[in-house]
Amino acid sequence: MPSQSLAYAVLFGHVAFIVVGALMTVLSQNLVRALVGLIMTLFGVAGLFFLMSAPFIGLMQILIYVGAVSILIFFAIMLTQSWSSGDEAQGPSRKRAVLASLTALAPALFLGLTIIFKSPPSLLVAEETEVSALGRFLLEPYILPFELISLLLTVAMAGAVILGFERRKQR
Amino acid sequence: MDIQLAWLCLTLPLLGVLATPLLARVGTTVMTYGAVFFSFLTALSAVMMLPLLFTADVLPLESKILWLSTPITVTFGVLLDPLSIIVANVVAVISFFIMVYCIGYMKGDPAIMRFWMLMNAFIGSMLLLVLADNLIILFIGWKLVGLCSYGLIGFYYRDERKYWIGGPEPNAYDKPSACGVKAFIVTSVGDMLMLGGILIVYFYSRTFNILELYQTAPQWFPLMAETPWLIVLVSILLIAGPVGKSAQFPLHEWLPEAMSGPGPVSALIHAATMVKSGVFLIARFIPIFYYGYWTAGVEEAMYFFLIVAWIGAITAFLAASQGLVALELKKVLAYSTVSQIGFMMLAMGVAGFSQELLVKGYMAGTFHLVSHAMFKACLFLCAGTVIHAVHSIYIHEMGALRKFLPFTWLFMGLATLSLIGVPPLPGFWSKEAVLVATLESQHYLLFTVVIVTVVFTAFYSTRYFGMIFHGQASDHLRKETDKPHHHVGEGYLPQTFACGILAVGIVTFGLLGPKAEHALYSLFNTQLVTDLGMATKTFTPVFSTSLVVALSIGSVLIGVIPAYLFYFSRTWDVNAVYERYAFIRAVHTFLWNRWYINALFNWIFVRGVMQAARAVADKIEVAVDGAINKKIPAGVFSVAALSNWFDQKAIDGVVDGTATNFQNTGSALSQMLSGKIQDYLAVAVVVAMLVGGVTWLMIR
Amino acid sequence: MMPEVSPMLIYHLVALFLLCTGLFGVIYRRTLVGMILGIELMLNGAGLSIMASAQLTPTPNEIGQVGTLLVMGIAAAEATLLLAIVLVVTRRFKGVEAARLATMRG
Repeated sequence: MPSQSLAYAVLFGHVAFIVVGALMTVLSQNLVRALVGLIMTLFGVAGLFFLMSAPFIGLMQILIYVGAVSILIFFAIMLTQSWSSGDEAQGPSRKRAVLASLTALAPALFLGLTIIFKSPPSLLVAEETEVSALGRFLLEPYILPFELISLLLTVAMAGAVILGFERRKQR
Repeated sequence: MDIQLAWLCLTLPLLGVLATPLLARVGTTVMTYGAVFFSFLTALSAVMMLPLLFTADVLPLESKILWLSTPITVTFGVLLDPLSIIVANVVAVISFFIMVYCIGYMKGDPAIMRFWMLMNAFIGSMLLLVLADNLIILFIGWKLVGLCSYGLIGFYYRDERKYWIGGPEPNAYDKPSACGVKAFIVTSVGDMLMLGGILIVYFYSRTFNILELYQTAPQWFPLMAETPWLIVLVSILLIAGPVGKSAQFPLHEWLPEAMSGPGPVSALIHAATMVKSGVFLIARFIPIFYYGYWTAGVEEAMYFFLIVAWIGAITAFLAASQGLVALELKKVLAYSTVSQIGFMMLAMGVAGFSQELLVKGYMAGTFHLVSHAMFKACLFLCAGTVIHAVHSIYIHEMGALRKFLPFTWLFMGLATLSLIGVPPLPGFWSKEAVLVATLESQHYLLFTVVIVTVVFTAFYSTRYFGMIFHGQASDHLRKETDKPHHHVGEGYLPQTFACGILAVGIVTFGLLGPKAEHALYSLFNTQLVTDLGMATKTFTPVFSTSLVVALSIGSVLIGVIPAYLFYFSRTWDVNAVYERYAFIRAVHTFLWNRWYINALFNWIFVRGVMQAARAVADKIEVAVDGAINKKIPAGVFSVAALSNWFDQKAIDGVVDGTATNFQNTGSALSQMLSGKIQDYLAVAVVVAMLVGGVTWLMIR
Repeated sequence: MMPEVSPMLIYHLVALFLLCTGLFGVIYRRTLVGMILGIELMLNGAGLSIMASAQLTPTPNEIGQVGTLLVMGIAAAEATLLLAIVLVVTRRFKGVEAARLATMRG
């Protein structure tokens, strides 16, 4: 069906975007290019969220990840001056590549087998849920995680500030 | 009145002792004359008892007061019979003269109050001993005499160098304090044995009273005789006291050392009084054993007399031989005293050998006691003067003193002649009596020993006299006389006076010699035969008296002539003889070392006891101490060490070994930990997956 | 037996791919920031997997969406802290390589 094949095309387009981005992230010598790859991946994932009939989450993805986390990582790159490093230029050793591949393949193997053979049947199209329902969900059954996550965020911010201050005190 | 005199004799010296410190408060001279006055009163009381001798039928007199009534009855009393009156007079009179001598001799001595107190105490104790009517009081007096003697011998107890006796170099010296202790201990040995004998006798006789012992002898003596050897044992025990007190063999070693006291003390104690107390006590026991042998027929009672006689003879010979080589003046006189007392003991022992000899021997012993007291006291006093004048105790450091000390020369000469036994002096008569008694007993060996002793006596007496007053002055003496204010001369007037009186007494007594002998003979006859009923026979001499006289004078000459040639006229040279004959040298060394008896006693008793004490201390005390203080803690510690070793090796070994094993494994494994988190993560993921996979495969 | 290719499968496989790639990146990268990138990839993979599992199954969708939101929030908090830590560590160790942080060696 043309819509179905269009859907698939969009889906795999996004998947390709994700794959390329991910590969860029991990394989790029230049950290800024790796960051760009990450952003591509993040956008790709957001697109997938959209395709799953969860526009809110997709937008959240973009807002949080691309908008905050990526900038944070960018700040990290800038403050630690790691982009100019000759370390990355040298490149990791062959042994490390093998080790990394092995480590990556292990879950790939096991989890892949589990996913392929043990997953329940899926719907073709997801149902969209209203944001209000999501909000009501957060405030009634899942109030505890909601409060906890806010607590977590506060603590994280405080911790980051303390870490920053501590450095100054040591001078 | 008569018996009260005896009580006076006892109490006056005691009053003197108590009065002396009080008089000392007034002044030293007052105290001195006061002490001497008390002894004068004592002598007076004793002399006033002498008339009793002429009415001897009255004797024995006794007076007593009850002292203890439970558990046994003991009375405190005095007994007067010829023996005790005579000896008490000897003691009291000679003590008085010696006290007079001390006025001069001890002048200026800082401890003179102690001296007077001890002297009076001594006189009182001696009189207590002599006048006692029972054995317990006698023993009390006996021990008190020993105590006073200890105090007087060790008078210079601070052991200043000038009071040391012994030597000359390189021979050892003796300190006064040690001498006092030696005297006391040696006599105490005898005293304790005697006490044992007295108690055994009491066990059988149930009485201590001397007269009662004599009178009840028929009852208890045979009882004692039933046990075999008991009489011999009692004899030995009873003789041991006199042997100790009178310095007879084998307890004779203390008397030479007793010369460390002041001169007059030696005169009093060791010439006149204390050493005579042994003879006195033997005389007191003779009637009992005489009765036992001759009347009761107990064979063993003869042992008493045999032991006494042989001890006397051996001692006389022994001491006289030692006097031949002695170099200290007072030591020569001390050996002489021991030897002469041996004569007395011999006479007393001979008294029991036959029924004819009882009174003869008894009388001879007592006669010699009296005459010896007189001339020996005179000798010691003169010796004190000489020593004081020359500042030396050695006769080889004197010589040619006749011109310095003429009076002393005269008095000492008279006394020496009496000692040798030259008629008409009393020493001759008394020695005659002893020799006659011995010969008549027909124990010829005893007689030979005694005759040889007479030779020795003559030799050594002449020797010392010659070395002191004749010949040439020694270097020491020359040094003394060269000093500007030398006092090599007669001492104070009291000293010369006392010696003079004694010398006069000697001569008088000598002239009265035979009469005195007869008088004593009849006195003792009355006492022993008439009063006590001893069974005797009339004395019929086997040998003529002229034989004895010839023998004695002959032996005197044998002794005197060589000594004269050696020491008076220096015709023969002593040193040449000494060097020429090795035999003489060997004999000299033997005699000089006192037949090595002193060394033997020292080795056995002194060193033996010390070594035993040390051995006990080392083995037992140190061992026990060591066990408690060292071994037991050491044992505990060693157990602890064992436990520690076990703990360290075994337990710690296991624990540490396990830990080390783990550590080694860990460190081997931690080689893997490179510190790189990426590697950790890689490994973790891979292993997690593997584990998960395996688990999943298993539980599928 | 050939599984049926469903959208959920594809989403899951993509999520798995992100996970593995992120893991690879964490181990492969030398610098700390490189490792942070890998961590973000892994978190994304996890979120995607949670969403797919909730949306495309009878499970109520809110669970999945809330879960993904939580993951995102945690990722943000964590990224904050990571920045601070990385700065501190870089100052401390005077370098940016992860290999320097080997003080816990052995």
